[in-house]
Amino acid sequence: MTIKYTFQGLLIYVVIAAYLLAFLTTVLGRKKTGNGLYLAGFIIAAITFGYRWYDARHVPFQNLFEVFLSMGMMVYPLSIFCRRSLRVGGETMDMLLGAILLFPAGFIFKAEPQKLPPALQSWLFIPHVAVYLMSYVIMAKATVQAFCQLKAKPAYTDENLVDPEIGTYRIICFGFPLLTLGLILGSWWGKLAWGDYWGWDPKELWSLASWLVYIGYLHFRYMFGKKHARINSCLAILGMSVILITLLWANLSKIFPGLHNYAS
Amino acid sequence: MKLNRCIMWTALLAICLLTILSVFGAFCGAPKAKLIFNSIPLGVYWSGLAVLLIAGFVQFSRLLHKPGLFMVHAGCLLILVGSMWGSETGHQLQKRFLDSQKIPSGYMVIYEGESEKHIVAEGLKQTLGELPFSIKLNDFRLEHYPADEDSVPRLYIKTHQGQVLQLIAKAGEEISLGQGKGKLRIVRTFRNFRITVEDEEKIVTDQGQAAENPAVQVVIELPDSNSYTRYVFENFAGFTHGENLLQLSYVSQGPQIIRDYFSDVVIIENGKEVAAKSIEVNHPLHYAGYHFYQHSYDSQAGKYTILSVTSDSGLYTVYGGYWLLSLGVLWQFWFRHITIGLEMSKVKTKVLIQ
Repeated sequence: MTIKYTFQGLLIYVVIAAYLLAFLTTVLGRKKTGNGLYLAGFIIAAITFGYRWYDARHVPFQNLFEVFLSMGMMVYPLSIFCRRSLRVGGETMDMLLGAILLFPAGFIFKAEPQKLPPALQSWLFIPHVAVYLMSYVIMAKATVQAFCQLKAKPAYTDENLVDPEIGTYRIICFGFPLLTLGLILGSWWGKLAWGDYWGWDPKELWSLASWLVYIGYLHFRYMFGKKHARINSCLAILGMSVILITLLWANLSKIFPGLHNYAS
Repeated sequence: MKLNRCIMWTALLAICLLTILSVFGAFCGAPKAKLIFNSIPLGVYWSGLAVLLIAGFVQFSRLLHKPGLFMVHAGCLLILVGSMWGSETGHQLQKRFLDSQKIPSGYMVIYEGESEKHIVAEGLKQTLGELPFSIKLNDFRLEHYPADEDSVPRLYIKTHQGQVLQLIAKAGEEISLGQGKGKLRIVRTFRNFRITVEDEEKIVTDQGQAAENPAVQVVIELPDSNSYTRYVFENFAGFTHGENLLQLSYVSQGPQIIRDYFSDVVIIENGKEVAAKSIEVNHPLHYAGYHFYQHSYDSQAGKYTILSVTSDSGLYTVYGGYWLLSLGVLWQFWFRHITIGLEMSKVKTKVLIQ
């Protein structure tokens, strides 16, 4: 674990602090202050993202530092969208989620900008990674809802909001097209860069496994609806676990060498 | 109803089995996973999955009436059929029943200025077959990123104790080699070091702007006030100077990072040049049912390129499946709800007006 004594590092720590303070103040009942801090954290996160883009001279999606930095920025707009359009709450947990997502960028992964290798110089680089990162953040929020359902108490008491089981389902339905597009765009790009749309690479297989878990969730929920709500929630959590393996273990572990290793 | 339930349970089991196999395949590594997923038992599984999807269409009218669900499932079916058609087994079946001579995949090694039509296996020794046309390599090029502005020439010194010191290679810079070991001073740097002999005297010069032979001249001053001059060449890194066993290496610029590889090729068919392209990563050549990709190159002299070749059998079916699947999920999970929301807001507005 290393502390980054750079301007970029400082910005990341400010965002983490803002998100954590937002969480604490909201938990302590100062909702307005919490929301203000959450918004401030998002604005600084967006500035950090833009600064990184300028500094690295390419969209910051190349390595795990940049991936977590980008995901930390995506949480706030997702919270707003989920509340307004899907009627799913849980912003307080989103604040904590934002801080958790930025932690690896702030303390674990190296921040040295790298030049893009030839394979990454494709117009598909941005859409493929962007949709995957968005889907991962969305599925992380769905997982929080699933945990709330398992704990059998809603995280919020607003009458306009749906219960956590429906919340989980709605968020997964929102994130699943992005997960699918990520898989398809990656496959298409693989065909252009490496000559095959499916190379049976460990990361590809983990991505397929995570997609299949959500396919399983959707089929199971279609069959039984809310009858086995706990199993639905467990499947949503399982999907996120496989995503975490895809994002971290498959990239960092030497057990899974493959074409995607530059992501580490 | 019983049959519907049975199909749904079978679908869930098939999804579960494929998930487990994917995880298992990830632990096996790509080459072994490829063998597993292309084996006969998995061929049976893929066929069964295709049958299951068709059974779904027959049994669930919902799949036919909901455009999103129809596209998702039809997309999956197309991907399955296309990938089976384009697999090695698919090619073997096409050869047996349709007399197709297509080679599923392989490699081509082509030297600059020469033409090649043979496709070889991964080890580049066994010939798999030949194409009905040949490919001529006009030129192979590498493009590097420009050197970083902050990268400066450096001299690396490995001392007797194994300690590695570094010094900015600029005339006048010096560094201590340790207590009682003297010091090292930079005298001059060369972009292109040349030595000539005139009147039995060796003359050292820096010729040209091209960094063909970068070097640095150093003086090692010993504590007993003796000193000697040495030249350190970038192209011969780590050369040991016997007098005091110092190992010196010179790096005139930061590591050169490759930006792209280019193979300028022309297709020759019946003695005529019919197509030309500069193949680079992400920009393959497509001709007569094959894709040609930049795979590797002669890293020593840059005299040849290695292209990977893949047949496009089944590819457009798979791409069709991708389009259907993408449109299907977007329709089913996003657009359908947007249109329903818009209709509901219209109804609300009408009620308010009335």
